[in-house]
Amino acid sequence: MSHLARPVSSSALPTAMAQPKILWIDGVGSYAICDQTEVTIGQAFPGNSVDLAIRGDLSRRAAVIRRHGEDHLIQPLQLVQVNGAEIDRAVVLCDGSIISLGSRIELRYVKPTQLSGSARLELIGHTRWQPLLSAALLMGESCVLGPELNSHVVCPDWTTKVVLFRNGKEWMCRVSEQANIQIDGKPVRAPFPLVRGQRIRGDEISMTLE
Amino acid sequence: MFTMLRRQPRKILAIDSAEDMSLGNQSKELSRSEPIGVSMKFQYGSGDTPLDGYKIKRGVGSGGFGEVYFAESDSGKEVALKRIQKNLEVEVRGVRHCLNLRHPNLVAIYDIKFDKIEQGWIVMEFIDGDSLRDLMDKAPDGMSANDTMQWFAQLAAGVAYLHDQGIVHRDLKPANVFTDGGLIKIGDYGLSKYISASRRGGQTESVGTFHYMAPEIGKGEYGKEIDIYSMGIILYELLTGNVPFDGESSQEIILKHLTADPDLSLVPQPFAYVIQRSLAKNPASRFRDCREMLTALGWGLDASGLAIKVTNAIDVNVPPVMQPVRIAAGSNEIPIARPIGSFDATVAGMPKPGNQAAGNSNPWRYRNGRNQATLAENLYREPVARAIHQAVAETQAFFRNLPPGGRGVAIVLAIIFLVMNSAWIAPMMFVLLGTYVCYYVIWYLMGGANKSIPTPSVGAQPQYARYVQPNNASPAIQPTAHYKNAPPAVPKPAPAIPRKVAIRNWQSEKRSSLKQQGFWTRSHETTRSWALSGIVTAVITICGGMLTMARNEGNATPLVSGIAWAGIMTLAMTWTMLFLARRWESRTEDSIVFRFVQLTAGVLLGMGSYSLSEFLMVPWSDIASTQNFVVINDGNAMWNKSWKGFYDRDSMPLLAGHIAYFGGLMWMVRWWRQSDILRKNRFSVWAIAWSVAMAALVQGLFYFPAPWCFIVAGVTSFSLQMASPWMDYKENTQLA
Repeated sequence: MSHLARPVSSSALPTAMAQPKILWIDGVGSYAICDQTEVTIGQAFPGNSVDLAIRGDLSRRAAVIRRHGEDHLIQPLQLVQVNGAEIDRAVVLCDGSIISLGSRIELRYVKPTQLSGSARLELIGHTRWQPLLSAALLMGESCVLGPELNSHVVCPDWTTKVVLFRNGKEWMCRVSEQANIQIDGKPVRAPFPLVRGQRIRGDEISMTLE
Repeated sequence: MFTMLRRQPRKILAIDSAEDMSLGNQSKELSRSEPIGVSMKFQYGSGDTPLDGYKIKRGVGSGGFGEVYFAESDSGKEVALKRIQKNLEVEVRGVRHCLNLRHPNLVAIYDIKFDKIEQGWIVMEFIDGDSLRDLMDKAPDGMSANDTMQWFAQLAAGVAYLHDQGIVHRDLKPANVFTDGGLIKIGDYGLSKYISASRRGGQTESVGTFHYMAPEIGKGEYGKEIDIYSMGIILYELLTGNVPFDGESSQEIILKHLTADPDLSLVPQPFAYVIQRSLAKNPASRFRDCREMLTALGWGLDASGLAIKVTNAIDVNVPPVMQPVRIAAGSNEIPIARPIGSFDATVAGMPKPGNQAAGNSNPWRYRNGRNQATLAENLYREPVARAIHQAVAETQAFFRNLPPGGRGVAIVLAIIFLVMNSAWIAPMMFVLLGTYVCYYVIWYLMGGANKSIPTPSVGAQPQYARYVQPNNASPAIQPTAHYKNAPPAVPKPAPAIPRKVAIRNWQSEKRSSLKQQGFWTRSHETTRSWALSGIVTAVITICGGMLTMARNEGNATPLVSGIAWAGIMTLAMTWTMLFLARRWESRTEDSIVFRFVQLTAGVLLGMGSYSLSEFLMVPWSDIASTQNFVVINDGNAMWNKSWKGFYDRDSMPLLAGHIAYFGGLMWMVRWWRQSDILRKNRFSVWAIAWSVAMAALVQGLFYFPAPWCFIVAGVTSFSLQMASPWMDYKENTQLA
């Protein structure tokens, strides 16, 4: 039972779990890009392969969030409450829904705009994501990073916005020409694909997908 | 209360991260013109490993002090990495001194490392939370007393620990204080502060850092009192949402630090007392240490150095914060302070007045003084007066910072110097004054008063910068200041705090709305007042004339011309003041300039008076009173010697005598206040009494024939008040 007894291998370390895609935005924060249809949420501990891991008192596999068209449904695997009411079957989430996992974990589901099916999942209170995230992005067909408050990722110091959109299996970036975007030091023309490990830099934009 | 601190999705902040993002917010006016988004430049990106054993994840903040990154060690430890970009040796020395400090309210420093190209990195605790700056930006009207206390007590606990270790932070500001869950973490200690003070070459950003700087930093003093001062400012800002001393330029802010008193009218007790005492200009008058400051707020430190609420003291419940009633933009109503908190000094754990030995410097000694902030806000438009004012303010600040003994010595020396040298100082002052009056008249007539105040260029280094030079390589200031243990100061009594009347706020509010008045409205008002004062003066003069005649048992002939002279001069003076007061009513009071203008007018009136009395052939020697007052007479050679040229052999005042009398009277009395539309009372007998008293003073100096000099002053005061328009403060404020 005790995970301390397990042999520590590199794959068992929390950071190496399911290798979620994380977008690191300088001066803004870190965001998990969850673009699969089903996202499993559970406790962070070595060896647990959930898509989004929370360090806290909750089940190893607490809930699944499923994308259904433009909506997200939450399927309870253990004790799950939405807006204070315990649920026993999949429930549609709407902007501002508060999800309680176990007794102490609370998440807020934020859908900043109805124009996009993407949503943001934030932790409330003292608990934290593992690895450390500002929030998780439940990706629809497109997602906006920009200075406006209704962006999926609010980047207060930016003057332009970056739109991520699906193109088959990969993600593309659309950004204004004025941003002078370079990838690994070379100028690129938008739209360009979002590739892991490449550093995207513009006048004020600076981010990397890990 | 901690649950209200929702994690903000957009920010994970580390030490200093918020500093540059929010510097612009600290002075809201400046931030608007600032380009956004240019500050985030990081040399390293996600995945880089400039330092062995650490993988950079993302940049968090950057600025003159260096770049801060969020990084993970090979084994998964999350840390903040700060790259030291300037003054490597000095910084490393300072941080090394703080390497092993341990307190829950301090951002822990783990290590100092050097990479392959000899760059220095500070490895420290990564804080996942907002800075106090961010929290304040979210609460622009200030926080509740409870929230404030929760944060402030922990801040004080952290600073108390630093002081106990002999370390002065020297750069306490909300952007350096982070929240982690409900915990306060103080960052940036151990770093030398001349870097942060001169950040980015004195551009607008640096303004922010001056808001929290104690006045004595200008003199290069870095005792722990400067931290107490900064904490006072932070406490004020937590409660009200604004810093107490704000301005367009760093010079203005520094001047306010040196001279102005904080406006505590909206701050409840015991906070007002604590802020007032923390912001004392004289470091010795402030709280001795953080413990004393906490005690005054009903808090304390437990054995492990954590802040706790003291419950066994007298009622230590912090009264709720008094929030100003917000008013809609464009509304004419004024904000009224709702007193909620108790103003009894004995409540809330404050030291009781009188039961402790009185200290020699009273933190309340400015409480009755005019709030100099208003004065400094409207810096003199006239450049010479402005320079003099600044010099006086600096001298005052210097004087306040002297130890009590030194002050006495300074006063004695000054008096001795003045007495010994009065022979040349007095004439020189007269010559200077005369020259200045001529200059001022010309300047005023050229329309100088309407020219805007030259705002200092943004690049100009403020005065503090003399001591905080950018890229200062000289280790003249040790990176970590140690303070000597000061002898325990005598606890000062806390006198009951007077409630400030909000009339001043009302006046300044109204004054700005008066600015909107057009030329015609003002002219109309002036004309109406002139007419009214004409009637009032005529009536009083006739009545007065009758009475005097009656007293002289019918022998009215010599009196008629005197009465005519008094009536006409009174009217001229009243009209002059009505004209000037209408011109000034929309301006912030600027005593010295106003007095100069009055003096000039007085000189002109004196000339007019002389011509008039010559024309009317007023028989002064016959009608001057022979009772009670100093009277001109030929037998007294003394006065005639000293005032030669003022009076002729028959005691008739000459031109110089008239000018001296009217000039003196116009200089001594602040007539514009009696005519101010926003004066407190419509009609004040005290104002008349004061005017007459001042006339007596002038009479004592220049021996102008009594009782005529009193009559002119008294009647002018009377008719001026009668004829001036008035807005009722009480009526206006009761409506809200």
